[in-house]
Amino acid sequence: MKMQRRETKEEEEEEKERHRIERANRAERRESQINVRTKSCESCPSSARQNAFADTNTNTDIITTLPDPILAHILSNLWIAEAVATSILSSRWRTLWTLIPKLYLQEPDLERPDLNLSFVEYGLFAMPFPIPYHSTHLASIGPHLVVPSMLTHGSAPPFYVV
Amino acid sequence: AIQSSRFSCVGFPLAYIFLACKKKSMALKLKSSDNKIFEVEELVAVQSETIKSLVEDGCANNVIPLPNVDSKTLELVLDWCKNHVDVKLDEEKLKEYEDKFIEVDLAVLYDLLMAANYLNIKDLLNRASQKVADMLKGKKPEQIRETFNIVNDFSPEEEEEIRKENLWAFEE
Repeated sequence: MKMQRRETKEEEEEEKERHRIERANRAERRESQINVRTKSCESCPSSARQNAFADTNTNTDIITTLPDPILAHILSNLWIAEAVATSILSSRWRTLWTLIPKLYLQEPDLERPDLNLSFVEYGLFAMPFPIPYHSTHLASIGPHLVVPSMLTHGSAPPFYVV
Repeated sequence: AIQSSRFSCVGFPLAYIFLACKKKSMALKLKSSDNKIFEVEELVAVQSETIKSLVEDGCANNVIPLPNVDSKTLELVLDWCKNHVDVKLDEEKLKEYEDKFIEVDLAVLYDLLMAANYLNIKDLLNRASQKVADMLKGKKPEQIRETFNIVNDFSPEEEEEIRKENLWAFEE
């Protein structure tokens, strides 16, 4: 009995450790991306914007150079499926949709048996502030906005994102 | 003595009203990144939350420098603000104006987004990001890349992996 309990405890600790490492990796990746971005800005002080003024039709990708919050704001105008689909555009866009402040799900989205809501967890996982959240508790507020019920009920969270 | 006191009775409120009116139509001076000065009415300028907080803190007596906005963009933004001073006036006309206003190329749209974000003008930011979202809507990734000149830096394997991660989002 005691042994068993100890084992489960160890497992729990292992899992916690795994979460921690995952989080650290993600943070590192994010940081390195930011570094690359600022570096590329330093190397070309004129920035993409002025180039865009010079020649709007050539290959300048100016929308991608917008800061994260504005891009997230843009994505928040889309249905979640369309926003998630932008992750395939390029590495810059890959995790952008996780910054969307609101999640809009179409009702057919919710009824689909193959819908994997782990993306909600993923999105919340990537947020810069702690959010108590459990993926098995999803409450629907209004026709389209889905929030984790933990946010509204405020019971003990399974993990915090820091 | 009675007459003079009567004078001050009339004079005092008049002066008060005059001062109040003068304060209301006070002009603010905004300086763009390329050092052009724009003189605008306070009512127009305070639609920017950034400028509003400056005014409230009493920091708007001299020229307000806006180092992140160039004169071309600032002119557009102020035009937007002028047309949004009294929103309740004519909704249909306003919508028409907004639709026409936002019909600009990507470079200008980029500047408007940056300026609206910096100056914190919510309705302009919403309208401009709605415009970009409309350009994303209902398009395949390839088409979006083409519209915005986005360079695909994924290998085919990576792309497949991302697709698998959220398969439901990529199905038609």
